[in-house]
Amino acid sequence: MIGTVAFSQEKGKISSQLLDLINKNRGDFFTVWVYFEDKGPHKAQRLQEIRTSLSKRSVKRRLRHGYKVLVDKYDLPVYKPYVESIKKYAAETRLTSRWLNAVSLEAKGDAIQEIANFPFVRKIEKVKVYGFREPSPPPLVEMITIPPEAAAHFYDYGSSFTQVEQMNVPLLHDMGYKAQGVLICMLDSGFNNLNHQALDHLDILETWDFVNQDAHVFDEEGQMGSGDHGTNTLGAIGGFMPGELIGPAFGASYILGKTENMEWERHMEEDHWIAGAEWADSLGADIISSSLGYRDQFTHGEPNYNSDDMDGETSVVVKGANIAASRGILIVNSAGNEGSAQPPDNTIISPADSPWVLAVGAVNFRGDRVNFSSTGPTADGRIKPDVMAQGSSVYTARPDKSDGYEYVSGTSFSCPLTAGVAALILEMNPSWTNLDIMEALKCTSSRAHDPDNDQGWGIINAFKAAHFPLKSIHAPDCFALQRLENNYIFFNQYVDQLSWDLNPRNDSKVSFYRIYAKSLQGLEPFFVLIGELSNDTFSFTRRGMLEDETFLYKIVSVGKGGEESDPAYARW
Amino acid sequence: MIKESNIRESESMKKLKLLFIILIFSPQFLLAMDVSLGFKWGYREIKDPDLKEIYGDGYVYKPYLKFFPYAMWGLELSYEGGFKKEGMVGLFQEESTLNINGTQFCGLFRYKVRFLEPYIKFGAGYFSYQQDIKSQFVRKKVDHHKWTFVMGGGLHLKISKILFFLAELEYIPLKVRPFEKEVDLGGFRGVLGLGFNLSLNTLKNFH
Repeated sequence: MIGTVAFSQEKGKISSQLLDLINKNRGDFFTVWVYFEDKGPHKAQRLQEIRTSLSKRSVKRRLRHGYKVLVDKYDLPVYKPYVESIKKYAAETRLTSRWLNAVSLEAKGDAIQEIANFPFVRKIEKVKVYGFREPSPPPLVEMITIPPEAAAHFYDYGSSFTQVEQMNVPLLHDMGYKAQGVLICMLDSGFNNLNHQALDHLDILETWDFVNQDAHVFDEEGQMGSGDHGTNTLGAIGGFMPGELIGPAFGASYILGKTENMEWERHMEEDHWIAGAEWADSLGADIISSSLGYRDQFTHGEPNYNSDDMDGETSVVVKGANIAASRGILIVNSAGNEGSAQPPDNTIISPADSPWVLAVGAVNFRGDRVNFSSTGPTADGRIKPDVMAQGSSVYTARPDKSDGYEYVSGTSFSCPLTAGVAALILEMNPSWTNLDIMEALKCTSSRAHDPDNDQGWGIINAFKAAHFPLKSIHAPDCFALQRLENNYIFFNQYVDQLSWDLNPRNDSKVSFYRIYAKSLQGLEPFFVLIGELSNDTFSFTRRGMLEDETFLYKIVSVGKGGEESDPAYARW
Repeated sequence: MIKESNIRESESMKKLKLLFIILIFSPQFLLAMDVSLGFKWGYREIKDPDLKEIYGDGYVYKPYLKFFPYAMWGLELSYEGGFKKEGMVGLFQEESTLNINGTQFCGLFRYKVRFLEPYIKFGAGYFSYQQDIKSQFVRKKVDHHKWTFVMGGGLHLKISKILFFLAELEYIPLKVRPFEKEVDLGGFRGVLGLGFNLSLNTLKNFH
């Protein structure tokens, strides 16, 4: 029996939503994340051990990212005795996450309350469930004619020419770059037909099936999963069959993680994604290409996230993605295929909502946004998607035929194309961090001077981004905008509240920030300086908006010598 | 910018005022009528909960003129002023003033019982309301007018042939939508007053 004292202790640890559910159905099973207070004793000694076992690739990436201390608390594994202690209360333990310092498990309501009694348990939350959005079926596959200029390049791209030409990739291939030496982690629903003639050449270092807990990422008899989607994304990024298909990063090394189960939509996929990202970090991956996303469409009666949760810090998967990005991994994620839904359901999915994740929307081969491509802003007012690439009629490898090819559509395919470009840029600029690559891609995309919530910064340009002169100071991080209601009783006026974080890459080089605004109704058609703030102030308020006024804000960091960084944008 | 509807309302208001002045200063009319003049003072509520929280209820004064061409039926012309309140408004708690005043025209039905004279009234009111927000960021100004209806009832208590006390309860709704939001500025009024009977019939009988 659980005593009153014990219950009061549990009460603060168990989230209110979970507590309500437990009180309603104490005997039911719940899937929860159990977060621990700490990672146990002897941290210094264990960190030293981890330091020596860290993979060379991982060390290299972290040094590039400017790590002063190579390992930190996120590298320590979850303390085993804690896990062992609570294991007996769980019907099933699913995964442990060193980044979240948590274990996901399935247990009855009574058992969860017992688990909460342990002093080392910090909190227990219900695992929210989000659904993987299949790419919307293309209304019409447009057969693309290969233009005559294709012949001017070193490789014969066949039917894949337009999708790489649109990103200006062939120029880099002509220069000899093919993403060699870059390690890309593909997280997907499985990878069939890896013997396909366009995939056969790939340098695949590791594979792991997080759904079925084995090393086989292709479909197996009696196992869950579907590997067709992964074959399509892998073909788009790394396929190589001259005259048919050439992906931007055909010379890269790959690790393939199967984290998605297409047969149902349950909590475990989100857990698997984080496990996959931790695995990628351990192996030293430079880039994660994830054509997955989580928000709604759950099965098994599980609750959905809503658009308000897409703020870059709420979903479990985005927390994992943010930690992965802090390790220096560039995460490229599909923006989502919700664009044709009614607002607010047309916005992006998680983890594309993170400020540290490059969210990729879809255009067709003419460069026009396709209507299924999810739009921004995030719940906290940041512009999304970040960039665009071809996501309609993308030519790639067929999963069911070793010499077959097909056209597929969805932001699932603009994502690997962009990840491939990022790999080329990294090959050319091995000292660049994940944030440098994001900055270069955004600043050189087709709409860099007028980003919006339909197409972000526009279609990427591999050649320009690879040659982008990075400045010594950078725009502030996570520049976001919220429009608040100012109720004067008879009418409302609106207040735009801009906020941003310090960019750690700037150290103390920034002396102040300049904030500009531009009206999109033509009142102030050019950017007008509206404020200058010293660098210990991280928010700015602009008052007196009308509800339907749309403004594009831009902020730049100003260095001690008066030099300006490239701008960051937010729009309402 | 002045709305066209406001201009039309101002013109009809002028015509009504002129009609009353002609009636009042017509000697035959005055001789025939029971006329009284007085001053009421009391409390009024603001129905809208947001306005009530910011500005609160308040006091009003109401000078008035009543005349009874018939023994039991009459007319009242009155002005309501005095409601000018300050409050802090909006996210930034800026200083603001709310000012509401208006003119009323009512038909009266009375019943005399010795020195008591209970009455009820129905009519129309033309009210103006202004909200002045002391902020450089405000783009909209509230300075509008609206017709509404008036209903109420009260009691005259005669002290002498020319002097009487009165107590009155009125309800005047005032739902307005100057911009996108509807707000009810109306509510109940409870007033006390003092009146003078100016009827020439009454005065000429004075010795």
